[in-house]
Amino acid sequence: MAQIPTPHFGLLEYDEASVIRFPEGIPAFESDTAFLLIEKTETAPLLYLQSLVHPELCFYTVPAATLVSDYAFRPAPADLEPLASNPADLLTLLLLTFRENGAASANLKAPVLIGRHSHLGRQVILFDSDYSFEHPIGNPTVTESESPC
Amino acid sequence: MLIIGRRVGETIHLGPDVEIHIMDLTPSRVKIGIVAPKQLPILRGEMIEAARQNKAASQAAATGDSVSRLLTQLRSHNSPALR
Repeated sequence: MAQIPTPHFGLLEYDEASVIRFPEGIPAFESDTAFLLIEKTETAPLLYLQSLVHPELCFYTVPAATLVSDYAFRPAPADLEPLASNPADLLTLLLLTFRENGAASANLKAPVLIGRHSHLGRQVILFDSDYSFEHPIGNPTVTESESPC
Repeated sequence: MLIIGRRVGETIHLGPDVEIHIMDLTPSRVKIGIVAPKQLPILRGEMIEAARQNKAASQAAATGDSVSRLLTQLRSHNSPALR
């Protein structure tokens, strides 16, 4: 078992076998080449993508299937091959961003793909799709303190 | 921004080392050929946007409230916000 102190989870103990390697990192975080995928029962179905290179880096993600019932993309062979031999072996995650008004958006344009057996991951950009980088989830709420006047 | 109109087969030169060739054109898509030194990065705009979006996601200052609200939306059967 290995250990890493993190701001979000305190001291994390983990099995090396559960480390997910991102050989190219992800855009803007190319040096973050190892992550853990963490689920906490109380916040399911959220999955936290916790960097093992920079412990302060942790993404909120959600399996695409929990948000979009018909997420229509076929991974290009160049994207799929390094991760899995079969699309059914891929976990597709969407990165979430919390906006200033407290609402969250999901990145449908650039999903994170992880091979369940290979434990390899990468973020792919669906260049030819009309999906949004900032697809809103739910309706933003403006609270009293946030209203402009 | 300098805006130039080109037809298929025509070119634009950027300095001595970079050439833009208009290869093909359809109503929805232009195919562009680029001649440039190997060390010049050539990126689709979405790559820059992806980096920007990842940075925004990494800074997610999620409050307990916003996470609860999100979980409610995720767990509700009909995921109303995503069509």
